[in-house]
Amino acid sequence: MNFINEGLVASFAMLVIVLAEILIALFIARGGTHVPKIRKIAGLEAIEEAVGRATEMGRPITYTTGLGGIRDQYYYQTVAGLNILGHTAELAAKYGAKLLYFPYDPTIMPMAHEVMEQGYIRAGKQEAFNPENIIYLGGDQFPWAFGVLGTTYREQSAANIHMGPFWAESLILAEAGFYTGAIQVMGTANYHQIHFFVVASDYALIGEELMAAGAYLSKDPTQIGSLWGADFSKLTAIAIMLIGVILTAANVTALNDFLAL
Amino acid sequence: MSLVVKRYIPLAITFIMGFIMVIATYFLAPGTPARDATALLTATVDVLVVTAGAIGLVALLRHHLMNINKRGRFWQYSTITIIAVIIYLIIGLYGVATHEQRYMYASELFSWVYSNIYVHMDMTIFSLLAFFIASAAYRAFRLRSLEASVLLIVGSLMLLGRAPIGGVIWEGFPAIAEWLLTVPNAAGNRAITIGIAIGAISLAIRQLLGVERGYLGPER
Amino acid sequence: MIPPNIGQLPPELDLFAAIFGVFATIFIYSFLWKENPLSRAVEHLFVGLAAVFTLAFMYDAALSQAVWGTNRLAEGNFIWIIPILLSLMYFFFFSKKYFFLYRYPVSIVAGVMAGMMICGMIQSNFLAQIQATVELPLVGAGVWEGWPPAGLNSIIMIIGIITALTFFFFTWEHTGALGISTRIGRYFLMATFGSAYGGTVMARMSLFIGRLRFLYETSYQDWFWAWYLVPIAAIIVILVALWDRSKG
Repeated sequence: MNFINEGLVASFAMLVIVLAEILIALFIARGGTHVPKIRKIAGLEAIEEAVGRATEMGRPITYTTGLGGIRDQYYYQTVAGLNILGHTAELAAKYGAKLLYFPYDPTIMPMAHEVMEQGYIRAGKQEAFNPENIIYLGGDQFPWAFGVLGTTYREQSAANIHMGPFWAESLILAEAGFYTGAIQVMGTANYHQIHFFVVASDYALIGEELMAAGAYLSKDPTQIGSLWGADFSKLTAIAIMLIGVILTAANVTALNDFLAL
Repeated sequence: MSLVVKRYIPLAITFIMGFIMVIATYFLAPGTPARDATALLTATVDVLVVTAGAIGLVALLRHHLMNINKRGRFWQYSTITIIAVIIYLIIGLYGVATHEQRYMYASELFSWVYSNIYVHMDMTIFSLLAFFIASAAYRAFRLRSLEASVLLIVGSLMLLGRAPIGGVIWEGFPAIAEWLLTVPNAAGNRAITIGIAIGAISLAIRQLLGVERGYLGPER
Repeated sequence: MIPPNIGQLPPELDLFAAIFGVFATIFIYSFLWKENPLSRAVEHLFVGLAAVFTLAFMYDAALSQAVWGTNRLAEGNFIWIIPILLSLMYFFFFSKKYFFLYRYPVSIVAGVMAGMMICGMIQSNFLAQIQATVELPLVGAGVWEGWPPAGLNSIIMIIGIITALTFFFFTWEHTGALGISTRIGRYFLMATFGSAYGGTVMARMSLFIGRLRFLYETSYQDWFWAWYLVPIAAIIVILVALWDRSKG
């Protein structure tokens, strides 16, 4: 009997490598030996601009975290979206702008409530937090999207922020912002929708940028350390691919055989 | 004590559950009783979140009832939502009361409303995308940067390759579209996918260690 | 799993469905002109139905899992009461004092999903993509024949994958060689997005054509054709929009 399940040996080896890289970098950064600098992510910097503009115009901010809940395999994007929601709530509280959040999956409503409230508390304006600004529109794709479209239009939102997993409704949400002339900041890791966000929004977070957002915004060395580790994992992936391609060309199949284990 | 109950125990549960799932995937052979036991954990997910559906419905009703009560903006439309909820819920509960296995969707009227009323609205909203995809592309033409030009040129070639008219204009367009899809598109998607995998794992680690702000975050 | 139906519905309901379908379609399309009371009414109706549908969907899924599945409550396995009780803890969210108890069911679900996600990501997003790249042909019989040769495609793909991946480096400055690489990577990403966008257009158009076919082809007992109602619905939209504007 094999120790590791059949067909998962290479997968487990990769998991160990990635986990080790991320954890080592995280602890080095936490210890303060080396805290890496993080490159600018334009989409995240733009959130403050968007909130500021909404405040100036006296119009609300529309925020959604896409079609994700905690009970699906896309939940990591929802969590990333909720982290950015907390940051947006903090900014909205600081500037005194109205933030409307439209949860899709009812399973995340309590979390969204807490994350938003925490944002207001951090800004020192807990009393300004209004749970009525979390508006549930049914947990089905198109009713939800049409509800967001209509509400955004009626409220004349000046900022349209969408961060999380999106499907076909992505363009409906982007169009909602166009109708009201809103500044649009959008991000998703669903590769089949990123292009809509890139075309239709002012700032787009592409794939991994969405997941890095929480660490980026926190400016916490420990979290930035995990991004540093993730960079090493990407470097590892590049190295394996380059070595593998050369070995395959040289007709050496050892690496291919291992990856198939 | 209170922080333990409020934050650390849920965090520990999350960590342990995540750990069990990883161990089960790699080390417990499929078909063994131990692996079946962990599969039950996955099965409980649907049960654990069932009450959230009710929370959503309550929140929706409360939002619209308050709007009606204070005669807020567009309060008349809130009555439509309330009536729709009440009628559809009654139909559903009738299904629960009369069906042998207590399923809500089992009521013929409930499923009829879905497939004859609901679906019409669903399909129409979906088809709005035909207009939106054209208007968004039109706006993209105003973008003035080399990168945006690459996007637009590739997009136009792709469209010509996919639309029947493209093949009529020049028979090479479909082949170009096919190449764009299988080479540059595949390359970009592969990079994005690998990035997402690492990003998601790094996010999960931050979450499981409790260093990332969130519902189990440092505050409260 | 779709449970068996109960009860019989009168066939006249089909006529009602067709009439509703036409009006709903036109009212929703009227949003493209401007947001108006009719599109707003359909929106509110739809949201209400969706909230109940979501509840029904979640309830039915839980019921089939906890009660009617193999070796579950219906067969006397009472351990399945535990997840149901845990699920009720969600309601503590409404309590000011014990709100944090909602975190318990959430933490189980989040942990299970995190574990599954990590394994799935490594296997199908990380390893499988690396494996597919490693196997790209560079030499061999026929690899450099035809146009474009498979070998050239391989080289373009390898350059594309590596440079686009360097775009996602967050903690190393994008200058020097890395800067050149990320710039090339950005072009690859733009080409990816352009081709994805162009490739989706036709599929979206076919959805609209599907709606037009519904309006044109739907009938009831040879005397009612859905498209009769299209002009009527359009006139109603115009009248209501004018009325709405006159109200300010």
